Amino acid sequence: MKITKKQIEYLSNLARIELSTSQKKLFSFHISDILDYVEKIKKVKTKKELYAPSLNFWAQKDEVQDYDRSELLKNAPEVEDDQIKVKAVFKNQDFDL
Amino acid sequence: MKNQDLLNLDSFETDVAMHKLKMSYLDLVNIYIQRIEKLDSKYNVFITKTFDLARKQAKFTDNHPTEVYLPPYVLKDNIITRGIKTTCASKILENFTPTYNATVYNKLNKNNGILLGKVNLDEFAHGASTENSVFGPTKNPWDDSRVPGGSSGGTAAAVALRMCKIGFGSDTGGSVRQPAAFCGVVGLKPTYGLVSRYGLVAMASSMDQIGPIATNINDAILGFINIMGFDPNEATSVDTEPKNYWPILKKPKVKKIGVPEEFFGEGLDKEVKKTVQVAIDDLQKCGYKIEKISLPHAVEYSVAVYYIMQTAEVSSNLARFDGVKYGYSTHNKSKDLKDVYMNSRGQGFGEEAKRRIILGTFVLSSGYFDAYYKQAAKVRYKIKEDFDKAFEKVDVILTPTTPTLPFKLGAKTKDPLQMYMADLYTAPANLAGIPAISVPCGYVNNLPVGMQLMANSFNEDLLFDVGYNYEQSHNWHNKIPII
Repeated sequence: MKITKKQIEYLSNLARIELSTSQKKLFSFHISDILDYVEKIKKVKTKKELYAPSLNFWAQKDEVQDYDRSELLKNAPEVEDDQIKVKAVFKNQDFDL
Repeated sequence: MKNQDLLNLDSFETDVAMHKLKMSYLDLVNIYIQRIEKLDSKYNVFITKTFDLARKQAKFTDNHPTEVYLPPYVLKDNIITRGIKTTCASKILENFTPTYNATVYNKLNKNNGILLGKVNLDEFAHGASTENSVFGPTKNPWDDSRVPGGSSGGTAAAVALRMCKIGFGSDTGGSVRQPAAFCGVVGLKPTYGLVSRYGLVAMASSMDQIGPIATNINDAILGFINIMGFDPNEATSVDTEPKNYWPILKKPKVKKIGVPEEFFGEGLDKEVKKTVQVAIDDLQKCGYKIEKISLPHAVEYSVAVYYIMQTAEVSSNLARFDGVKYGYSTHNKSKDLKDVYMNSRGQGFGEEAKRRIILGTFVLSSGYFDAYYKQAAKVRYKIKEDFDKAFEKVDVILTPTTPTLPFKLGAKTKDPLQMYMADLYTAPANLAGIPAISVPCGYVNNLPVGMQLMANSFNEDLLFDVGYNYEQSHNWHNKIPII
């Protein structure tokens, strides 16, 4: 299956990954190649599916675990008042409604 | 006995020799440190050396002897260690210092483990050559113009170079077994769920397993029993009674070994084929019954299924690296939040990680999900079914570990699909969740060849049984690369 540069651009936006022009070209070529190879799985006719070799899935308890706050914050790109600083999530016009 | 001779003994022999020589663990650690300092610049194995910690842990062990003897070891740098940088060989985590420990590391610490350092891998374990590392490729100990395999190439090379006795890697499609085969050492991928994945930076969660690499079967078992066991922090962890994993020489537990013809067909190097066939004949002489079997879906479809399901899981697991809470970030240079995501990820991930994220996003995207991801899950079921049927007839399945000998550095970096083919014989075990081991079985032009043994879930003891009896009738594990 042929994947176009335009499709790569669409996927790069979905995956939130900036790609260079040369990467877009390269990926369209490589991913088309890989999809041609994997095409053969369509020949297999069966109903049952296996997503994970789960031997015993079980639910974890919802428990709060303690971590050293200052140690956690050391890895953060930007810290203000002991909190991780993030760019604004809503733009101004979002509140103009 | 010279100090250097200690490096070639297995852990139990080392223990005895240390007592005889009145050596401390600190002495032993210093021998390893000297060895690492001598060889690392040539082979590029270590990302972070933890020698101060190792000396401290060795002194502690000298003062607090344990019953379980655990020799100095290394960890692949995708197993997180509190206070010690864990990079995944990536730019995005180049300066990341974890705030908690992987369960495996906690278990090793509890047993007086001595950590020599964190070693090289393909970025986020994506690769079969350890060339996709932001810190440069690791070289093969047998020929430094060739790759050590991957993605646990640093771990396998460290063990083969006798920089440590045991190393730990992770295996998603062959990343412990394939580099073990390329470096002439033993590598085990345990049953899915037997070793906790908590604190292993996730690649494909339905396939990832941490496993030991060692020069011989006994040390591989020692590594395995030190890390296995139930973990309440991990939702796929299995609570099961550990078996007696120690094999007995010339008293094989395994009766029948199955040899699937599909693993000896197109794509297999002639010399590798010949070497593995000799090993099969030798096993027959050891008293094992060999039976031809068929796994019709495993080789035919495993790489295709693997590169759909694995990339789908990669695209989801790697979504957490977004430049917000930790890791490489363009926070100060980007205009809005979306820009932070796009640019941090765009600049922080290497080419292969990006390719897998994009491919994974595609197979999960609306309109293609059924045709690719869901269909792959169906074929995965068929692969598992093949194994289930085979294990009704035989105890262990034997195949080559890799289709080729260790290849030249740079030989496959331009062609991802060719690189993916390195997983041809190893990916089936991950898809089915069963245990598998690579055992050295000979050399072609001084390059190592590995044979792979696979067993039904929880039957690691059967792999050790065959591996040990084979190993003891040969001398491959005592062959050391000439440096």
